[in-house]
Amino acid sequence: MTKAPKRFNPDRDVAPWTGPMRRYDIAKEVTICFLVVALLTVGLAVVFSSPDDKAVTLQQWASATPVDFATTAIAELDGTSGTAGYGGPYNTASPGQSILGVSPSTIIGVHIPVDAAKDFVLSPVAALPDDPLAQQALRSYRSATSTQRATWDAAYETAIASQAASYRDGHLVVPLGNYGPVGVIVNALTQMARSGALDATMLTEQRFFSTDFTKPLLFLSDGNYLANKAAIDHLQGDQWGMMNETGSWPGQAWLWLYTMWYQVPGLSTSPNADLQVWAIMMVLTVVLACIPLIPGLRSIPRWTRVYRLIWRAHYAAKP
Amino acid sequence: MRGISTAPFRLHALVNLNHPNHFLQWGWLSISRSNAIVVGLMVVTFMAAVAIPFPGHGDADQEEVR
Amino acid sequence: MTSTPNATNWTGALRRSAERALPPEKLLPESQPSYVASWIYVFGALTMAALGIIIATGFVLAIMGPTWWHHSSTGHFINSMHLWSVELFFAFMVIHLWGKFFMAAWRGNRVLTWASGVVTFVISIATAFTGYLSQTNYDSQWIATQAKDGINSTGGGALFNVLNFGQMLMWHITLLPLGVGILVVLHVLLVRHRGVVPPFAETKDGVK
Repeated sequence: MTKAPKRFNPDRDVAPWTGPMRRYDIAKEVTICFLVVALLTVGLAVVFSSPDDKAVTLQQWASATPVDFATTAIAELDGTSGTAGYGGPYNTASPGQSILGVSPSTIIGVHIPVDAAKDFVLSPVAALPDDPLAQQALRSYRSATSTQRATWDAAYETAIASQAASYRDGHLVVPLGNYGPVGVIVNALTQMARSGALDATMLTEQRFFSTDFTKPLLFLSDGNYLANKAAIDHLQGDQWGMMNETGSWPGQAWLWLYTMWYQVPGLSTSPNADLQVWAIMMVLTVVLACIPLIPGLRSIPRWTRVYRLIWRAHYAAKP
Repeated sequence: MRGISTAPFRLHALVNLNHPNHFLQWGWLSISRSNAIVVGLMVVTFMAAVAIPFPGHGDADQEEVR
Repeated sequence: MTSTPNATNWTGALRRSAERALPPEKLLPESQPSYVASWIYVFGALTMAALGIIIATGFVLAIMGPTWWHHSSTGHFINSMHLWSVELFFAFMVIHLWGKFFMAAWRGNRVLTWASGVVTFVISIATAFTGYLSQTNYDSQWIATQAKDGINSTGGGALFNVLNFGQMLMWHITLLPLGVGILVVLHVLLVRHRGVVPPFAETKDGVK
């Protein structure tokens, strides 16, 4: 039994061309295009160059804003930092973002284990070779009960956040209080960072080669130094940052729709914003690919009649 | 912001873009001036591509009738 | 010596199938339908030209290594060319997309041509993204620490670690450009196979 032929739909179908052909040199066109684009590229590079803001180091951070550095260090120690409470793929401290009751990061689990207190504070300080005071402080901290550690951490966190906290004569200075060994540990870490040793230690973790910057970057992003620099260039999430570039160079205009959702009230403050935006963008991408199959959307070209301009010579030549 | 310096930049450009951008703002909409120029140029280029006649069409010598 | 086609010979079957889909005069034609007469048709070729410059400058950056451009004027210039060719690539690609949309270029069994173009666009965005991560400067640091949240939320961060410079660089210079290259070839072959979409057929009553 033969199927009935499909009805002709002008938004889906088109009759094969049986009209005239004209001479056309595709190879010449591609060659000319290549030369034009090459010249354009060289011209733009000569006129505008490209941005290159130097990478921020832990040393810079600890030297420029040591109190912010120390504030971050104590947050790593007591588990209140962004990384410490992140969840998958770093740890299980948080359930992760969810959509329609499903949390993909929790399902997939921990694949890049990060123990904030150990990786960002305790292990680096333990690597200091000639600081017996710091080593003794570590031993005290490790042998204390978790309740005692929490008490010291909380006290130091309050102290470093106070107006009186400062960095003077090579030391962190905080109001007097009972911080146990925590003050010595955080001070040792700050001095280590200011010397430049922490950058190498946190990256290599006492191996030789490493190209994985997970730990230094997570630690850096838990503080305010990186973010404050980003705010100047409108690179933050609520500044359409995804589209922007450092300096006055054009950025990534093609990300306009992805970043737009982060500016929408309601969505921008949602605790599941990242996953919700990804879901929206995945749906829209599938819609874009499937426009030919979607009635209405695929009729827009015919309705808007821009094609009349593109093919005006063809329509004018028709008898 | 004080205390945070932009990196030293070796100028290789005729036009120095190594300074904070200007932003065009309407309520919650914000676009950098450079991005606005790029998108504006794209729209103008598209309109020009569609509007400007393509050479050679209608020339009898170019036509080959199948 | 001629041979009759052997039904069990894979090579022969492959060759005959390729010849049927894309005979040489279709693959490299010297003529186009007369309606192919607008500057908008040039933007596909401009996009590919920009891709060629991206790859060429990328090769130079690969030869010299990922931090060369920070301490060499020549390196910085090649990096500038790489960046601007990317800006031109996306600009031309989007203009090409606008043109193809308003021509409803998917008509007449050209749905796969359209879809392969969209997939190429998406993979190009991913390629550019890993490129920004590979700059080894402040921008890479910021983009990595921001983008991780979006990717981690989907669970993808367990495999695709944007904070791992080595991994991101390798994706940028091997896996993703290979994906872009394969899709561009597929897309162009589809255009050659199906031909450029004809105009809407208009009568005095409108499009029929």
